[in-house]
Amino acid sequence: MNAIRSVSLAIPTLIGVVTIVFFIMRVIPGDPILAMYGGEAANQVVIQKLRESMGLNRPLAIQYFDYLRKAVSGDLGISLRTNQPVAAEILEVFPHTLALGLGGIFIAVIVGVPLGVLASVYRGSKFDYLSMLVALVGVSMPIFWTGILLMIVFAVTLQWLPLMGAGEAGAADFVIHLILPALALGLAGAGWIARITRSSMLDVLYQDYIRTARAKGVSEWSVTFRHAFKNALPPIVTIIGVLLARLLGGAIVTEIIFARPGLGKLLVDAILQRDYPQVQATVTFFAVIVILVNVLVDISYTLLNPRVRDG
Amino acid sequence: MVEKGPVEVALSPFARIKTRPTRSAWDKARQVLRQVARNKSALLGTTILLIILTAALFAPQLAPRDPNKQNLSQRLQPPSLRSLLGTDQYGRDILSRLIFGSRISLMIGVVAVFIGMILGLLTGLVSGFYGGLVDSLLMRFVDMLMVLPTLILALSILAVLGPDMSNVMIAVGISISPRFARMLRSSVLAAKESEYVEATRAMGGGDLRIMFLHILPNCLSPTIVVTSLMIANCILVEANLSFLGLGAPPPAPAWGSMISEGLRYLRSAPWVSTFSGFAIMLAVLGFNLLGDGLRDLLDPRLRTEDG
Repeated sequence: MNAIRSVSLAIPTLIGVVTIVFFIMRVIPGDPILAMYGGEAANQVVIQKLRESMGLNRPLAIQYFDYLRKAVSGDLGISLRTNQPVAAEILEVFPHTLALGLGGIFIAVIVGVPLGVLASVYRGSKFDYLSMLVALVGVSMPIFWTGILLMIVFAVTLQWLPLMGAGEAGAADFVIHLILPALALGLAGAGWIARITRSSMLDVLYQDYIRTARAKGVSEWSVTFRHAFKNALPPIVTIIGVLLARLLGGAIVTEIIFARPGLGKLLVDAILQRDYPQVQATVTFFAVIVILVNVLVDISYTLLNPRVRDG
Repeated sequence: MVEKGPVEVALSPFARIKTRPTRSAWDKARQVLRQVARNKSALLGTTILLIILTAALFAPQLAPRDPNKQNLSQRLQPPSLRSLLGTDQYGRDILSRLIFGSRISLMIGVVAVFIGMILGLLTGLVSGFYGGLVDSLLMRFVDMLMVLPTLILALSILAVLGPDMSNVMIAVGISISPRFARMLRSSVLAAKESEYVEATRAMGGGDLRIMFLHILPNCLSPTIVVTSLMIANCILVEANLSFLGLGAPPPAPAWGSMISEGLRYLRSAPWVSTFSGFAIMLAVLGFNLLGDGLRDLLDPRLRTEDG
C-alpha cells in the first residue's frame, strides 16, 4: 500500500518540477534562439524558420502543454547544437553517470558505515573524535579537489590507474577507469554516512532492549550488529537516498575533471553553449532520477521497519 | 520594538518580560560565547574563520604581491621563498591570489545565504502562519525545488541569468531558500499556538505585526545553526560553479576557477590546483565546525544525547 502511496505522490511532484524547469528556461530575455545566435549577426530568415520549426512563435501556454504531451511519450525536443533528439543523447551517456553514481555510493557505504559504527561503539574516545573530524573534513572537501588529489597520487605519481576518460576496451577497462572518479565521489559521501550512522547508532545503543541483550550475556559483536545496527538502519537508508541525489550533483564536476562522458558533462556543455532544449531535458531527467530514488527509499524504509510495514 | 502606550503596557501580562530582553539577550550572548570557548568544534571553527576573515579584510596588506600582475618569465614556478605557494601559468603569485580569493568566497557565501534566508524565511513564515491552502501550495512548490540537487538548480538558474558574480549569488541563494522555508515553517507552526501570540491578538495586534515582531524573533535560534551550515554549502556550490567556468569571470582569483586553470598543468605544476582546493576545504570546514558546535550548544536535546 505504501508503495502505491509514494508513487501517487511522486507523479504530481514530477509534473511540478517539469513545469518549474520549463518556465525557468523561458525567462531568458528575448528567446532561446536569439540567445544562442547572439542576436543581430544572425540571419533573420533563418532565425524565423528555426523559431517556427521549434514552435517558439506560439503562445507560452500552448508550448507548455505541447512539451508535457511530448515528454510523456519520451520526446524531449531537439538539441540546438547537434540536431539530434535530446532524449537519445541523454540515454546514450546515462549508463556512464549511473555507473559513477553507484560506484560512489558503494564506496561511501563501505567506508562510511564501518567508520560510523566504530565511532558510536567507542563513543567519546580519541578514535571517535578523530574519525568524526575526518568525516567532517571529507564532507567539507570539494569533490573536484578530492579528484585532483587522487589523480596526482594514483595516476601521475604512482601511475597505477589511468588519469582520464571512461575506457574503451571491455568491462575490465571500464572498471579501472571508474575507480578514481568513484573514489572522489564516494569519499565525500562517506563523511555524511559516517556521521548519520554514528548518531543513528547512538540513538539505539542506549535503548532498554540493548541493555537487556547485554544482561543476557549476548556478545558485544552480536549486540552491535544484530541488535543495534539493524534498528539503526532506516535513517542510514534514508541518507543513502538523499546522498544519491547529492552525488548526482557531484557527478557533474567529477565527470568534467576525469573527462568522462555523462549527464554532467552534457549539462555543462549545453549551458555553456546555451542549448536550452538540452538543458531543460537534462535537468528534467535529473529530477526524474531523484524522484525515482525517493520512491525506492520510501519502499525500502517500509521493508526495513516492521512497524511501518504492518501498521 | 514598537512603542506602546501606558495603558497597553499595563494591560499586557508580558509587559515585564518585554522591558527586559536587552539585558537577557546580552547575558545569553555572553553565555553562548563562554560555551563556544569550551566547545571544541565551535572553537576550532571560529579560529579557522577568524583567520580567513582576517585574510579577506586585510588582503591588500597581507598579500605579498598584486594578485593579477602577470610575469611570464616566472610562470609555473614551484613553491619557494620568493613565492611561498608558487606561481600559476601567467606567473601570478598563488598565495596573493588565494588571499584575495577569500573575499570572493566569503562574500558570495554570505550574500547568497542572506538572499536564500530572506526568501526562505518569508515563505516559511507566511506558509506556517496562514496554513491551509496557502501553506499546501507554498510547501508543494518548496518540495519541488528541493527535488533538484542544489548545484543542478543553481546551474539551471545560471543558464538563464548568464554567468556573472551577482547572478551566482542570486542563483545559489534561490537554490538554498527551500531549506530555510521548511525549517522556519515548522518553528512557526509551534509558535503560532503559543500564549504570547494569543495575547498580542487579544490586544488587537494585526497579522503582520504578530508575524514579524512576535513569531519571527522567537523562531530565529535554529536559523543560526542552519545559516552557518548553509554558508559552508554555498561556498562549496560557488567553488563548483567557478570551477565549471560559470562563476566570477577571469582574472578574478576565485578559488574554484584557480583549480580548473591548474588542471591543465597537473603533471608539471600540481601546486596550482592543490593549494586553492585546500583553501576551499578550510573555509567550508570552518563553517561546518561552527555550525556543528552551535547545534550542540543551542539544541539541549542533542547536547544530552550526544555529549
